[in-house]
Amino acid sequence: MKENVVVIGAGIAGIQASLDLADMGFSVHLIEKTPSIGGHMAQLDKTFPTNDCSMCILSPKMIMCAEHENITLHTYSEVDSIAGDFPRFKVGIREKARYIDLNRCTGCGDCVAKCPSKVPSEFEEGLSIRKAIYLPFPQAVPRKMTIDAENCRKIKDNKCGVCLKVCQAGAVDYDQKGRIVELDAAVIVIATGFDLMDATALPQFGYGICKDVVSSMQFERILSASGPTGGHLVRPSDDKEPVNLAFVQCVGSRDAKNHLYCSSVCCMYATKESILATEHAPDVKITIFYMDMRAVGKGFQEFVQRAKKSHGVRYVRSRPAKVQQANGDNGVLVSYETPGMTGEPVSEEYDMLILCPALLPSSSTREIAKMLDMELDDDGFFRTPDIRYPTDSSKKGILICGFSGAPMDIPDSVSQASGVAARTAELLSGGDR
Amino acid sequence: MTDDNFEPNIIAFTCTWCGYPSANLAGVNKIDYPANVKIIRVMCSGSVDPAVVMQALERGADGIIIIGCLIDNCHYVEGNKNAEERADRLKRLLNVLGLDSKRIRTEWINASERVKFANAMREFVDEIRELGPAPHIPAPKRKELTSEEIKKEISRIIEDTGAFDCVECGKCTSVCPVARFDTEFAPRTIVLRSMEGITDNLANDKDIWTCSTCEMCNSMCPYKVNYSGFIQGLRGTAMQLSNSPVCSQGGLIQSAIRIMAGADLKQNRLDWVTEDLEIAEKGDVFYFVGCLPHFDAIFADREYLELTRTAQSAVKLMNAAGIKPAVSNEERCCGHDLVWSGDEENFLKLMDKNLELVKNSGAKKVVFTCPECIRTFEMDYKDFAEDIDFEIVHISDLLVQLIDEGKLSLPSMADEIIATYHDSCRLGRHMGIYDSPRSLIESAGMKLVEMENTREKSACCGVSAWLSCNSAAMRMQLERLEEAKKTGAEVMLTFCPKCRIHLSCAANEELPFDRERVNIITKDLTVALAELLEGK
Ligand code: SF4
Ligand code: SF4
Ligand code: SF4
Ligand code: SF4
Ligand code: SF4
Repeated sequence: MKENVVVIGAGIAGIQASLDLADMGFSVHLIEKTPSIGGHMAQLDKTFPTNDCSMCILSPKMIMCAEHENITLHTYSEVDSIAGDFPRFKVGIREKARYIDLNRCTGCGDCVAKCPSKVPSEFEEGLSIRKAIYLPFPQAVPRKMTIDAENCRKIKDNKCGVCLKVCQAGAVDYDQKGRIVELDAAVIVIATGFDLMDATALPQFGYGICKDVVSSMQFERILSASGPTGGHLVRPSDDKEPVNLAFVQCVGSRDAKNHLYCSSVCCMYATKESILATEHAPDVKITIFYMDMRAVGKGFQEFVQRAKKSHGVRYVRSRPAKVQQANGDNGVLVSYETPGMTGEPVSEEYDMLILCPALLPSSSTREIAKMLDMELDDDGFFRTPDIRYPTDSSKKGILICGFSGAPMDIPDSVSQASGVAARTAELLSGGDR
Repeated sequence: MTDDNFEPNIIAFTCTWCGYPSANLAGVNKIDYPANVKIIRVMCSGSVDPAVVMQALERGADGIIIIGCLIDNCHYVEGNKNAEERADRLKRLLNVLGLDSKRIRTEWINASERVKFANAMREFVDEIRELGPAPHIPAPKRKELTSEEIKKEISRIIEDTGAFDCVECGKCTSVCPVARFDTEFAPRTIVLRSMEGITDNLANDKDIWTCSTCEMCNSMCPYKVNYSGFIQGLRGTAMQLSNSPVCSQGGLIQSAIRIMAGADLKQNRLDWVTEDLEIAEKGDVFYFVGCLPHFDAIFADREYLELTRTAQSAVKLMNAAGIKPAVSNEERCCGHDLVWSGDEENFLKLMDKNLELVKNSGAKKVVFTCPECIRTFEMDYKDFAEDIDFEIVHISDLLVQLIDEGKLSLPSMADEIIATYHDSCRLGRHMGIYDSPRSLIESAGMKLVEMENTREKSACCGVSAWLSCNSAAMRMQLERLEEAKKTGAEVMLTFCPKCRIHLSCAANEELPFDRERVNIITKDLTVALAELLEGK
């Protein structure tokens, strides 16, 4: 067996890097802080520009990860410490207590049905609820339950204890403790991905103020057949099918007061979500308020063209400055300036508004950078200073792939991940120029 | 007067019914009167705009005489009475400015009274000869700019104000209060035109004067474009191309300010100083009063505004904290209205005079009540002048500091008053002073209720630098008053004297709806605080 490689973050980039590295014979430890691997891609309904089913691509890779003999999953785990230098790092992994014996839990779900404690589901972006004992989503890997201690009545108040009673497999263990696993690693791969900017910080867009303003990730879930509405396009305020939808691009990105960089994927996913919406509800009319249409990539411009021509999507080059509640509780009033030389301020009513917030380097990115005393650039991404080795960080033997290095879409993240695997082999074979 | 050869230049405005015929008759009867008098016939003495009088004085006249029918015999019933009233206000203004109120005279002469006419002329010319010449201000010099030079100038403005970063998102237009009511006006397109090098319209672009420079757009622009700075720059360049603004009050106020930029004046700025106020000539703290005395004269018909009480109150409050501020009769207008009307030349003259004054007073700290004055010192003076080494403080920050240090305590109000506070655009968005006024209102024991649009989002009073007072401005004012009224407050407090003037203007118009909707008292916050000291 070859050396150990630790991969931090099990989104699509971390998964792909792990698979490639494992296939090359490295012993991979994949660390994921949530209960399941999969990352944001698992939340997506389709991928652009082909509208392929996201989960159909991702799910097999997730299962391969779980089954690969060279991959050890550390889910619900966080990096506790990193010390040493290339090629002898020491990594401490904190495996949090999930109060479930993973060897016993069969994933039957009896416990979930009985658990009385309801919490907004992270995976469904708060649009539906989960229980305190839960599987984050049906295709989760590992397909084992987790008890979230903060909301469990037994762990918090010593009250309920129902799941222990219903579990036939005897998997529930309220006294389980977390543990630290110490590992040697030759190379560390960071793939900590992104977080969505919290749009409540920009009250002008009405998020958290008007019921029918949702984030693009929430909308992705609304469109998903496995999502909270079973794939029915409905708006939050009254569960009615909206007729007039609008998207606002660059919410907090390309904004010198928030995040100056372009999040790079929003133009395309908004286009994708628009096409999907018209497929779900053919009468729906869609407006996208954008700044510049950033359709750089194979088939991207054609995708936008298709949205315009075949799906009647209206693209308006303007940035709304105010979103208010329309008359009554439903819908919103969007104020913007008509583009062109005459420029008139207008207000239009929409049944529902979808915000495309800035995608930020995830909070884990900052934590890991602090732990390693590594430099981030002005925008908070890992620095990759050497243009010849785009996945090399500022520290030797620590490699970056996916969104934690720069805003990028799925195909780019995947190719960077494979690049990381190749770069690992190169470094460890002494072939470093 | 020292100059023996001085021959005054006199303009006589004569009404068409009595004034002019009396002059005519004097001529027909070969009655002598001095050739200094130049007669301008107007329909009625009441149609002589004070701004025209002021402009005449600014540009070469030494005395103005207005001649109309005998009182109670006006062809238009009350025209001469109106003229009289206006002349009185102008005289007050001339007195403050130090031009001598004698330079304006009214005479009521019957069509047949040719001798009375000739005598009046002789007397007036003698009197003005005695007074000497008025301090004339030459018309601002225009550079002859080639289209290349204009382009270059605009590029510089684009660079300096960050307008280069504009992505044409249109947020500015969507939040602009003016664009909401004036659909012709779109701030984004002004940047767009400049960026595309379309400059030939600058010579007659009215849009650049329409902006109220409220900075609502600055606060919203995702690329931090200094939009108001951009407009200020364009205005300066446009003036070089003889594109000048339409000023409210017919430009009277701009004229008065330009006069202040000129020669030695024997101003009377300190008439508001009463015996109970302790002031100094020199000292650590200088109180820059601004043009409250001038506005008090110009808007004498709105006595209830009590504009100079602000100055008295500021001194009272400082006295109560043991500060004896220096104030000066030699102060000039800060120049705010000139720099925003594109007249950089006269603005710089005012700036030099004021900076010199502060320097000579030995002040380490200059205190302001007027939001425009403080913005002008803090931003424009610092932009144009290098050696500003004194501290610039607003009275609200100073008072909060004094209260914190225990040097000043405000007695609490006997009955709790419900008040709302209007952030003027200069003190708020331009200067970022939002908290101190609010904390003062609370320490005075008033109950503060906020309007719907407050702090950074506060709506503008609609007019700035006495430009573009139009229907859009009027609607902004009424909307603001209505907002204030809706809070249920008894009084709307603010620091800006001009906001109060503009808002009172709208409220006095004939309204197409019930006046109660906008009926709320405005009050200067400094005055409200000083009243507490007096136990009111
Ligand atoms: S904990 Fe027990 S009841 Fe729950 S899913 Fe696992 S095996 Fe089933
Ligand atoms: S013990 Fe906790 S996890 Fe189990 S059923 Fe009760 S609340 Fe749910
Ligand atoms: S808000 Fe700023 S970036 Fe947008 S159009 Fe206006 S000036 Fe340009
Ligand atoms: S400064 Fe105020 S009035 Fe002028 S364009 Fe901006 S928002 Fe409109
Ligand atoms: S800006 Fe200040 S000093 Fe100038 S005219 Fe206005 S109040 Fe007076």
